[in-house]
Amino acid sequence: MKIINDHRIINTNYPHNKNEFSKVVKKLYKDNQKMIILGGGTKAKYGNPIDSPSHTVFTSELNKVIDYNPSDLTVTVESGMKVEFLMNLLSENNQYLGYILPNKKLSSIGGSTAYGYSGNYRFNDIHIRDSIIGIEAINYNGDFIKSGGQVVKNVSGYDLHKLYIGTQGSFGPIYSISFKIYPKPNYDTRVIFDFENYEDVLNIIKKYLHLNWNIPRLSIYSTNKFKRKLYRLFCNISGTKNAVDYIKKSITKDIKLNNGKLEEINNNINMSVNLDDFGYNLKDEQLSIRILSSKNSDFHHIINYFENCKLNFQLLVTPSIGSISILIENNDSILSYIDEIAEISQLNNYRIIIDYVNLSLQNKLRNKFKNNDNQPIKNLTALLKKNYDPQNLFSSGKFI
Amino acid sequence: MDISQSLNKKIIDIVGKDFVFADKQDMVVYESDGTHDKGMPDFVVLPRTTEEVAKLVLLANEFELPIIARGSGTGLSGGAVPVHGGLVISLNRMNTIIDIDVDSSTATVEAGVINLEISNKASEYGLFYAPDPSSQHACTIGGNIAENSGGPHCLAYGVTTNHVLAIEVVLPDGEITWFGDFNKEVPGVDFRGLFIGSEGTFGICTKVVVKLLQKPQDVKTMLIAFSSIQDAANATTAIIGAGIIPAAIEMMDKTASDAAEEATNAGIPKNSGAVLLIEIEGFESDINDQGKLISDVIYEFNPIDIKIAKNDQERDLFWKARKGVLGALGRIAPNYFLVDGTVPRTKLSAVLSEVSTLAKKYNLIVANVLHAGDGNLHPCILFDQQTPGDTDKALKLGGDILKVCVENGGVLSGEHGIGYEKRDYMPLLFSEIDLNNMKILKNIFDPDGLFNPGKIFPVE
Repeated sequence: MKIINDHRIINTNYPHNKNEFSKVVKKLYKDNQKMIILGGGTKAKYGNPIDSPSHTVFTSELNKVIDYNPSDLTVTVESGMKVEFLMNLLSENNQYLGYILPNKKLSSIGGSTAYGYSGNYRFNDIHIRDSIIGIEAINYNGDFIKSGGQVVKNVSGYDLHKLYIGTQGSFGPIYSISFKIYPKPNYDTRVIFDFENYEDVLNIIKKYLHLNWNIPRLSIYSTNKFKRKLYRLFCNISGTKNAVDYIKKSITKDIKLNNGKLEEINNNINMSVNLDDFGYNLKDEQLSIRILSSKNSDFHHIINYFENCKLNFQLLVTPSIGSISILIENNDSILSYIDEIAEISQLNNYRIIIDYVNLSLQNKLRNKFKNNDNQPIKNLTALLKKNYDPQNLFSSGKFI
Repeated sequence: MDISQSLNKKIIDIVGKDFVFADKQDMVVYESDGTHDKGMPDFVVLPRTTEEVAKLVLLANEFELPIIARGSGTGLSGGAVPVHGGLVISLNRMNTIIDIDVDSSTATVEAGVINLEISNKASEYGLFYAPDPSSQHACTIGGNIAENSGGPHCLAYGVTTNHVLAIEVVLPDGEITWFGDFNKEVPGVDFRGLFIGSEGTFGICTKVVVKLLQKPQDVKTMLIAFSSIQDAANATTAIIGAGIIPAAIEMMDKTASDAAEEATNAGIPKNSGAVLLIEIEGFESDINDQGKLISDVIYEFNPIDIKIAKNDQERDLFWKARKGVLGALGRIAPNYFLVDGTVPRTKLSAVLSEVSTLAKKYNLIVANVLHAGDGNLHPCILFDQQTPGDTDKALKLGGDILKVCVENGGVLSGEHGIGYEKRDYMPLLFSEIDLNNMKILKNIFDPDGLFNPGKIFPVE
């Protein structure tokens, strides 16, 4: 039996077109075979491990543009298209998705949709859920199901496509996805500031967090690799030249008032951290988790904890999305700290998402970091699964 | 005591006698919404709390009575019309703004709060709630959730679903729960997203957490007249195509703009074939640049007049002309039927031509009002219901316009919902398999089919 990304695989399928995709899914379902759908395979270590050997259906050959008229500011593509390909296509017309999906070279559009995370760079706080305007999926009979459309405003029937975003293929494969897209700003500048005190950097963030200024990234990076306590603020500013200059000037002034130090404008390789892919593309011994807070900037407790424990960590706080990504260099080392991290999370109503973990640790961590949905949500989710996947063959055990 | 009396008593036990109507004359106003569709409810009840709503839902279940949630009744798809009778639950008494959290820029409100009141309250902190349906002075946030409402400024900001973080709902089994979270990243099925726009068929929304935005530094509002609607439509496509996303691009054709001008004296030239109302927001220097870019782009389409609002009063006047246009059309005909299709922006001009051809075919006047930047058309079919056959003709014309929208890659509704009015057009857009999959979703939420029956799905 093959192992791909820790999944035990019975067989692999590479449908080349829409009809083949439907036929493969229909046959596997009819034969009562469990299946997982893989795009770039980059999200395989996210979510629960699949519960039994499965057939794999790769969407890599389904990578065509179905409809793209730049003046409509919408695009429809097949789900196996690589994120980078779509980004380049849009970029040729000075357009973009409004966010940068992690791991763009390897990730597919379908996988990113099924995963439902939009990265830490976002124009106007856009989530992938906001920008997907339609999906064509395949049901257990191999039939295509259409939801939404290729227009930016639509209240025609239920938004069934929401079911496929962030649910890891549990309700069936996605064939195509339509996105609302945006004109690319003329300028996108990165400014970096260093602070010695977390409160100081937080003051800055709080001021700029809810302004409707085009600051698609405002993230704080810290690591115990720094020789002293240091909080590095990465700030991307976008828009017209006038707007970018105005915002840059305003932030720089405030930074000085809050004891920050301007370290860099634009590219300086020594200072760079791969922010787009932070927590992704890791080595097997590394571990990446994301902690979510309902209060955008409320991460004091977890930051304090990491600063005082002996883990080798890097962390990236992005208050605009209420998220802190933590990368731990040696995943085994976390075992001694799991209970305390779980306790802090519970006390502060944080939710923990494990983005990347090797198989041996997966179950131990998941049991500790369980997020408890309320009963009506559990019941509805179970009913959805039962109705849209009655034999429990799609991504079995991965999500539900 | 018959069943009706017994039920009446039980309803009174839940909300008190002052908040239950069971006499027809008291319920006439609840018979319809902003459309011509009608249905007399069996009871109208005005609860004050979520718990009361939950009790009413349980009671309706016990008596197998249809449940229709209602806000202010401003809907334009027959969505709140009790076509099978039943219990109308009017949420107007649940109208408290519970909290404005300035630090997180959110507001928590009850579902019966009027849309505009959120912005009015938030403005004390320099904030506002972005979705702004034309009826925002009257419509409720709960109604907006049901229909995923839009509005002129949704071009830049997005529609209701993009601004609602979480909702408290009473499910069809009477259970109270929250969908969504203050944090949009929380994994799991997006029940919040599924519920918004489900037109009251999945349960009743009772509380809402919305995102608030900081008011823009500066605003520029332009009223641009063109000699033809095609020029205005092509100018819209060109502006978007040039990578400019104003806060709003609204369009009125000659019929609509003439009526609006008569009602408001906003300064629309008499010889214009169509006008665009364009609003740009941002930093002062930025909007000057954008304004110049827009002027350059539209120059190619021969604008005959460009007015820029000199102050807030003039800006308000321009918007009064646009937002009050449906009322102004009453000068031309006593009744109108408002269509709500959306098409890809590049198809605007072609679709408007076909609308004009259809209007001639049916010998009816159509005034076109559009959220042009979004490709959202509102052809407003004018008629007199006292003239025999006119109502049927208007409805048929509306159907034909929707067909044209779908044939051009568009959809049946941009912001009003399918409701009762457009349910029979659903097969134009969706296959039987698509519709069956939607029905599965409906059955999961509401297995007994008591919530807003007769809506969305075509009659079999």
